[in-house]
Amino acid sequence: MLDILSNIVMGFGVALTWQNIALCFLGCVIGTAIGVLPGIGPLTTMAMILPVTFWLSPVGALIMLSGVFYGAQYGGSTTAILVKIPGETSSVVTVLDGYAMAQRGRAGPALAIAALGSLFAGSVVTLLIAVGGPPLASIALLFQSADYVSVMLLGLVSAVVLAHGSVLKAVGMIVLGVLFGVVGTDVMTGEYRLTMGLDVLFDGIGFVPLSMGLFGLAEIMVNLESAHVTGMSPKPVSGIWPTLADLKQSFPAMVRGTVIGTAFGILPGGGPTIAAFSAYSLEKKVSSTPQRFGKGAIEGVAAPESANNAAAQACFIPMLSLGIPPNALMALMIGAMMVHGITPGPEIITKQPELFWGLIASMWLGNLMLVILNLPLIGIWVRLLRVPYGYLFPTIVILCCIGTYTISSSAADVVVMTVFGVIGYGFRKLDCEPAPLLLGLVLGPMLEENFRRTMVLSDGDWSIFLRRPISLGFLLLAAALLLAVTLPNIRRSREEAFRE
Amino acid sequence: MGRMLASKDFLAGLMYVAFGLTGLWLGRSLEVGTAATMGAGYFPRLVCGALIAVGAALALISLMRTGEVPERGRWRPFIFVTLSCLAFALLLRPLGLVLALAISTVLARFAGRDIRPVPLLLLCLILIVANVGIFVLALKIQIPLWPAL
Repeated sequence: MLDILSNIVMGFGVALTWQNIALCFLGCVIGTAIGVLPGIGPLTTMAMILPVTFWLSPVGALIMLSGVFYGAQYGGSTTAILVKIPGETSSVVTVLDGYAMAQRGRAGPALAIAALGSLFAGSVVTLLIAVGGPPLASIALLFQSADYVSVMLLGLVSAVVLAHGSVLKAVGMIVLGVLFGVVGTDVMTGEYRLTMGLDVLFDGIGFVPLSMGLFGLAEIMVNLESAHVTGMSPKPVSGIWPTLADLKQSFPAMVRGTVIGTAFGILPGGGPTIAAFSAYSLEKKVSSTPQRFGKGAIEGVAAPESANNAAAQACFIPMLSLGIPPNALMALMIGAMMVHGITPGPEIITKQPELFWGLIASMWLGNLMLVILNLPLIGIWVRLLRVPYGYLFPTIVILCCIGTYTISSSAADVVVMTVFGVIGYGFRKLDCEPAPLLLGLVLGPMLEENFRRTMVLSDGDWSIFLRRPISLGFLLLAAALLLAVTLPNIRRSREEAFRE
Repeated sequence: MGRMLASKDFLAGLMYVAFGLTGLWLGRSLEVGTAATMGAGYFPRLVCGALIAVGAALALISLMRTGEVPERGRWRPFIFVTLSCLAFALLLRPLGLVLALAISTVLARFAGRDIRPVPLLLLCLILIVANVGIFVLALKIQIPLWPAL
């Protein structure tokens, strides 16, 4: 316990330097802004500012990028409540009761509960990472390559189970991501693989060009086909403080939301969106007055908003302690770490404690800043919605181009990004979700390396995966998950959960 | 039948199979080796095989039921966003950052419906000032600003 305390103190020592406070603040401001603006998500934004973070210290870069991520969860709820447009997919359910409250003139309390719920969830999960991360990492140090192969397979399987829509389509996207990860120089033999002789692919398909193309450009092409989403002016908000009764009603919902959010955040393939959906449907089930939901029930705001922020932060747990990203956003964080020469894995906590604890301390700090940014300053953010999409989307296109170019001063990377923009447009048209692909792209090379090492050690004997108990455990878990998703009644409830 | 062959699931299945076959073809000369001594081609072939299997299964299952057909796209956003990025990539070196930004911004703006000249000019100015400020002046990235004469 004393250990944790002294570590947290060290973490605050790192997070409270002027430079890191400024970066945390900047990340939170950018995060809130893109959270408010529909049509641009945290993934695109993090990819866009990734090149800028190369000039920062590794801790500073991670602090700023995480600030963008959880800041977006706060900002996304603002527009959901005020104008019925979720700034992020994770705020879709908040629209139901949040907007109903706003129509009754209770927009202020709804916003306040959303922010306080997020703060509560954020603080709990930050503590959980501090307490749970190090022991998990010491278990992970026992892992051998065979165990890593199995835990990554478990991750990929669970990403499939939790993906929207068709299971087979999601499997395909992950495998395609793994295939894209193969492109480039083979680390073991030095041979070029699937590069088509193009210099730009010798180092592999870049993470940034791919994600900016698939998420940034493709998103714009699809958005422009439908009605424009910004350029409106919502009514001003008056009286933000919730009553004591509001707080009493929403506190249990916040606790339940935090628990669910944490679980879905840790699960590979989970994340804020599915966490928010599940928290809302649970709240409706346990409520003694379910008919109030959808008509302005404050629990219907508290639960999903706590859940999405809990999930946004809990997904750092597997990323920091195992080095395995549970979703596309954490895959991007891993990419950022590798750019700074940090090898993600269980050694981070022991070898670079200031990175781990500094990041944790900054998360708590960031959550506090976000409450201040979002409550008293709400009017400023709402004004952002008046920016016409006609100004917004060319800016995103240009930032994608220049951001990709600056990574290695390569115009060819910009062409690669454009190609993935075109491919991503095709994916959208065919309802293929690109997020699992990104997970496959990052996990693929790790999977191959560990797989080959295992096979060399076992002299080509496949049964090694079943003989090591840790590995066997993960494989059984993966098999159970796969079986569960094919069972008819579980499948039905999964579909129901997504429909709601 | 025609409707089935154009369904989203069927086309997605075909797409996976096509990517898998392309991967196999591009990696045809890579050595496979054995499980104990894997060559560079072992893992890629495994992945391509899996992708083809998934794609084929998806396509076959989609034939058993009528699925949704993809919505018709509009060409204008697709073409102008693509052109804008390609123009940036190809014009940056010969023309310098300022002109490349201006041309890309104009092309990007054409992807939308609003192409009034005054807001367009304003947007170009904002983007040029902001990007030159951030990337060239603050971060000191080596990008030529003007055409090399």
